Amino acid sequence: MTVFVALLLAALAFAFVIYPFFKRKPAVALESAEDDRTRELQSKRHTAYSMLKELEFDFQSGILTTEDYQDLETRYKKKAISVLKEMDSLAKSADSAEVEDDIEKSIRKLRLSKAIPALKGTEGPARSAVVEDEIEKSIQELRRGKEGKERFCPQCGEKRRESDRFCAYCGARLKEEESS
Amino acid sequence: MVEIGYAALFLALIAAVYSVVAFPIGVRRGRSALVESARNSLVAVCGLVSISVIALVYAIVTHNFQVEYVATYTSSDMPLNYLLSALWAGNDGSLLFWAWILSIVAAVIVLHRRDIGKELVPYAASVVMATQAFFLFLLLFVANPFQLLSFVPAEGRGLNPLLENPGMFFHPPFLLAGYVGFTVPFAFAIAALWTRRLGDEWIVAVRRWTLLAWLSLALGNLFGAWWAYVELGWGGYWAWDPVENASFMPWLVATAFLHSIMMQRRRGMLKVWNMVLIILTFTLAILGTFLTRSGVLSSVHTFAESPLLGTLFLSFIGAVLFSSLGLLYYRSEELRGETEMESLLSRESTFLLNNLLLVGATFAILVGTFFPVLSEAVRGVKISVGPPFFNQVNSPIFLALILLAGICTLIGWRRTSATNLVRNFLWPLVGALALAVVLFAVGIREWYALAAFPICGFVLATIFYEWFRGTSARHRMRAENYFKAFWGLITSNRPRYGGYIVHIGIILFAIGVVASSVYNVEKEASLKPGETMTINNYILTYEGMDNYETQSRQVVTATLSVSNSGEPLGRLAPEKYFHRNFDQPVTEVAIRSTLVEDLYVILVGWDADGTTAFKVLVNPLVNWMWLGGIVLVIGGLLAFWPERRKPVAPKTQGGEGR
Amino acid sequence: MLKRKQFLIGGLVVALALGFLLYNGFTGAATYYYTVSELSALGSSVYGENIRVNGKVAPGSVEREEQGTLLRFSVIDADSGQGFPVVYRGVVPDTFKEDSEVVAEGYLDSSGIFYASTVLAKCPSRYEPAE
Repeated sequence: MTVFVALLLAALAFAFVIYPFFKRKPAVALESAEDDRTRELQSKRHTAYSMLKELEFDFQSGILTTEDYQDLETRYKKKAISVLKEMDSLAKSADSAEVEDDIEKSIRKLRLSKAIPALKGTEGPARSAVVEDEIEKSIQELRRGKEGKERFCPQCGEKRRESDRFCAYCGARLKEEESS
Repeated sequence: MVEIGYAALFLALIAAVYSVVAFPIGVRRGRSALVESARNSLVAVCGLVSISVIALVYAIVTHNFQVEYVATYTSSDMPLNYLLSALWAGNDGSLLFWAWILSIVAAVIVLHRRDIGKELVPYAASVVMATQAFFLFLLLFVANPFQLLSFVPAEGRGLNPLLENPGMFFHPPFLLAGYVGFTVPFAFAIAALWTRRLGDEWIVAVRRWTLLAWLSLALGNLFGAWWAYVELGWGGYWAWDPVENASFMPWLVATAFLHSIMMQRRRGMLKVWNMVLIILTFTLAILGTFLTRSGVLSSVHTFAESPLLGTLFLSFIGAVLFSSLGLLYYRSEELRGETEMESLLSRESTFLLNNLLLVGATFAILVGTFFPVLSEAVRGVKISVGPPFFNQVNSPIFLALILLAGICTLIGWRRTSATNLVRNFLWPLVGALALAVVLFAVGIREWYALAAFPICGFVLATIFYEWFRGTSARHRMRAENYFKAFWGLITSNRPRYGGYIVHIGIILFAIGVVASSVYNVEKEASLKPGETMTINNYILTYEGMDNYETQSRQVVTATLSVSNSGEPLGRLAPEKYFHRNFDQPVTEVAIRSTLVEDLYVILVGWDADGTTAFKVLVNPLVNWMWLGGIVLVIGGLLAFWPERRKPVAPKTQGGEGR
Repeated sequence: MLKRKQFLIGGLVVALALGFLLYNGFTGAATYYYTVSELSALGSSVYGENIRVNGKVAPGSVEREEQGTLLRFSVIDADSGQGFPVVYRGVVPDTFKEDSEVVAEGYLDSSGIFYASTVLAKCPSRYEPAE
């Protein structure tokens, strides 16, 4: 009896282990190296964003002085932007180096011209949102300028780039025939 | 049933070894069927070990005394709850319990859907299964819980009556689960080194696992301390016994790890350091299991000495340390920090110092614990250091750590200006100094208490100050009422505020420890019935002795009536009982516990003429320790609680369907 | 580089402080740890020194006086059976019993009696019976 149960256990375990070899469709999808880079950048972006959030919060609750806050915020914005740019360049083909140059230039200009006056005018989160919006907007503009016509995601209606295969806002898959 | 348990272990070992090999090969060669089969094999290990556990529990519950383990730790007159606890009462059973938890943890790792660190899972699972295989090997060939006796004893020995305490249900399992839990972060760290995915992924993937293991270990130690306190014979809540130290060390290093991973997340620094910390944590956790079983050091907790088991454990620890540190060295070039420290006055510095101190304390405890062995090796004489050493070395370190917790709360990342420091720390500092003056005025002169209480007060003040400012900032920004603002504050950043709550718990605990060790009063007295003794404001009158028998024990009770400053507080009845199966007495202390102090009465002994000896202690603020423990657990759970997923998660490009 | 130096100095200060604490602790709390036979062999050279001794409670040697607060017993070497008397005043741990292993801390006086300030009983049946 005992031997029988033990054998049964062994057989069951064995069957369970070799089952995947006889299955048609594998359940475990293996990832490619390209996704890794994207994910790493996303994680970096997340870090930079959460750091910015935390700085903002520390400033609001008085742990950071205005001076310290401005200095740190600028640094992390720079970091976030460089990550964003890297993500862009990863997503796009190599010929867009020119675009990136422009983006960089305009970001620099933005930070000098808009960011500082904006700081004086508005308070708190509104301010940082202003700066971020500006930067984001100018990146969009530049990119559109070089790439041509605007496109929209059929799912959520947000703007998207021509080269996108997935919507950056809702994640919907963008059909190939639409973009090419 | 017994043989099936053993057979299941055997099958589990085969399946575990298969998993160890199949996972990395499957991923490397891109053969998903192989990976899936390895995964199934891992799940099978979990199932098989569970069957084995069921078989042992079945043998225990049905009193199958032919099984040596059952005969040694149980008897037929034991109640069901203690019968179940026999699963971890002995060496072999506790190793099986260890393997079981590990198998469950492994199954959760591979079955849990995660976004970050997905690629690490197969490698981490392989590492976990390698550990699993080691334990299964021990269970099969060295410490077999299913070992049969050549005869069937009529009755088992039963559980040592000293272990009959609710602590037995909580202390060992939480402790073991804590030890086991550290396998996960270790495995992910090794997976990260293995695959060269040395970014933040593995940190993100293991933070909550580490927190859970850390919390479990903390709970296990708290239960142990409480148990030791209420049950005489373990010598107070903490005795710096080697085995206690063994469970404290991984906890300290894990604490350092939980702090330093924040530095890596936020600032991209300390990458090698984090690896070292988690490798150390895991090694120390295994060392704890080794210490209890090898008999290398004398301790009240030791299991039966088994030189073979000791040797195997030592080799395992050696192999783990050698291979993981070697791998780390091999990859150290790729683990350069992205940024450097900028200023001594920054939150980074406090974290760095916190890490140094935690590791320093661990080192001191390690050296102290192993000093008899070390000195024998070096000088040929065994020199041991007792609790005074540990207290003397660690109390300044822990005080400094607590102080850091306060500074870190109100200091900014990267750098902080002097004006900012003054602005943030003025009020907490003033409060702490005021507290020191008040304490001095009410007659407290012991320098340690005079330093410790104001420091604790300072840290509490900084935390509450931060909460207050955060809440009012939210109140202003979002026009929420204060209550809602506070709730929003706490839930907006659970890891951070959970951490603060843990700090509060630690401080309450520290206050209890300092007060009860600096201000405890003890007195011994021999009383005849009707006589009284006084201690502080308490008056205890000995009323008389009683003697009764239960089914399995003979109990002697001494009754004392207690009053405090003239106000009657009822009776206390410390006991001693003698168990039929064990020729040792068990002393049950009587405790009258309040938030302010505990009156702790021990029945020491008696003469035929009715003279009875008591030892009475007044331990102030002991309940604060347990209260602190509860707060710590609440904070830990808050930090552990998963953050709500964002409503629209931007999908990764090409994450699916490629 | 100035920053680096600052941090190096800071780290050094911490390390030195730790070293000092350790050294201080050792000089204050280190006690020699002997087995019964080692201690017997040393004899008069260790009289009065604070030591820990590890041995077995000789069967039949335990005497309790004064309601069990004064304890007299002999510790012996498990193999040779040689040993010396121990006197201990205080609460005796529950795990203390004849034939069990004990660690006593105290000093040996010139009459060859060991005055213990603490007695730790290592209970073999804490988790596991003696084999």
